[in-house]
Amino acid sequence: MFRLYTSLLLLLLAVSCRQNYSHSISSHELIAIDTTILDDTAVNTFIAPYRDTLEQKMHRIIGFNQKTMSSDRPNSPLSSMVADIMLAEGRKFIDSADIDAEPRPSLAIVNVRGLRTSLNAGDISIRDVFEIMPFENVLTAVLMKGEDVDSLFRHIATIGGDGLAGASFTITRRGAKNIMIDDQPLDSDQMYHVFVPDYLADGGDSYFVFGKAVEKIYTRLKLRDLIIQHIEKLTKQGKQITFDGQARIVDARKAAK
Amino acid sequence: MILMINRMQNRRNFIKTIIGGSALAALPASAYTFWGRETQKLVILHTNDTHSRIDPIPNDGSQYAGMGGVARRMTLIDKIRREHEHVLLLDSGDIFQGTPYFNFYDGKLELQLMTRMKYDASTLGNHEFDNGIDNLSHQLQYAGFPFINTNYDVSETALNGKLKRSHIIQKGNLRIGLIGLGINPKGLIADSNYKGMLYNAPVQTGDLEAKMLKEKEHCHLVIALSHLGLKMDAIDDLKVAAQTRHIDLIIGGHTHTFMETPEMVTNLNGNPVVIQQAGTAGICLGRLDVVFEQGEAKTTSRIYEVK
Repeated sequence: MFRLYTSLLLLLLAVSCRQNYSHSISSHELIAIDTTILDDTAVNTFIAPYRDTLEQKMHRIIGFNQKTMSSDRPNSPLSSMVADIMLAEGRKFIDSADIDAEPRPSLAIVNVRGLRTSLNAGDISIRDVFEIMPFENVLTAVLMKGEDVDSLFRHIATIGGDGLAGASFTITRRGAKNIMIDDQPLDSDQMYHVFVPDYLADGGDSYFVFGKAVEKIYTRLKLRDLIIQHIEKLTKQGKQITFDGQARIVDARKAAK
Repeated sequence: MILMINRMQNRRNFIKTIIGGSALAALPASAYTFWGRETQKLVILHTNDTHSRIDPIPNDGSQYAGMGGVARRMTLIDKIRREHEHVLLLDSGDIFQGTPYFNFYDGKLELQLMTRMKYDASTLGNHEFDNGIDNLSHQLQYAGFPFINTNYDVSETALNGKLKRSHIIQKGNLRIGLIGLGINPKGLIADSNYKGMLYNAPVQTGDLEAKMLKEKEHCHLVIALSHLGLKMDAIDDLKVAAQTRHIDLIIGGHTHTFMETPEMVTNLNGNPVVIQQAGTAGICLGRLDVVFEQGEAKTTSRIYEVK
């Protein structure tokens, strides 16, 4: 009762007394969480069953990588490799019997930001691929008019390049030029198949241009699974993954200055 | 930013800097006072963009190899809670996505662990929507703390009733108001993953809610948990600070910025707003100590000008 009374009194005083006050930041820090801090045992015990189940799935080695591959603009070995895998699998998908689609010139795009980390040199585990491609993105075939594919390349030029396969072009200060798809110059009157993650097909990473698609076919092929299968296949054949440092996109803006 | 963190790591322990020395960077606010003590201290602990990083970063030779880990974070938080009476633990979003824990457990483990660490509140980052708004809504049952968002209208979605527009936490005599600012999902979150959700301008909706917290709820401090990012072309924390009147402190995220020193921006009332962000992946735990004292507000030592 006394406590209640006191609280009420305090409340009244707080409301009636219009004194100024100030607040200030007396100190700030980013405290590094490193090996000097011991694990909380209870939390560790709580995580353990989850960690163990995951570890069994993740630690399997599926191949070997000789040289660290990063994902950068305008070109990078990792983004080129993933785009190559998407192009090959996309073509296979379109050619498959149950898809009613004509063969068309095709290309593949993967956003550099969607590949979240580098593929380090050394053994490649399932975990490594999860770290690169954590998203549940599926391969999507987008049918587009040539003129919209032209807009697509201008968008890629604006952002300074993205992972590309089946095509090449030059970024200039005015946009994109020398656009080649399947070794032919881009034809505005032609229809094209563009293979992308569903995230981009849905306008993610500012790829609004896919709103102009004539048709989108969402496959059930997860990009991560495709990457794993690709590496496993190479390993089975006694091959290593390809480090492709070739420039599919040439950025001519700096040279022009 | 990367250079900075290297320097910080070379010093082994992260910095502890005091803004303006003993003069302090004072933030004037409205006129409610405390009783029983001259000053009160609030310790704000914060994380952002933890991205499912439950275990420390693997020892793969990368920049932050071996750092982070939820079990260590718990130890550190417990230690600080033992040392101080009034501690807040906050997060600014992107809890989900980044390690296989999310792929296999859909965010359940992340939220259960944050509940165990006794987070006081979080806000939504764009990656919370990675498996769709329905999955997010389902996972929120594992969060024993509120998710605050002020500028998303989710009334037509599965999230209806599961977010708070604002939240008040009482610590002793201190009333702390929290709002949450979400990033524009267009072009960032796949359309199908936030279907039915409407995005409202963070400045207008945020400031209105902050005003309510100050004037109607008599909060001594209004903190915005923001996932807008720092130094973005679009609306970001610096712009929000400059274009509002009632937000005192912004705990940010999205841009994974390790801020050695908080930014300070003058708001429309001429008062300084402090902006802080603690990197990513639980590599660091951010800590801000706020001291409340009676008397006239003092001026700041350093102001960040927004171009």
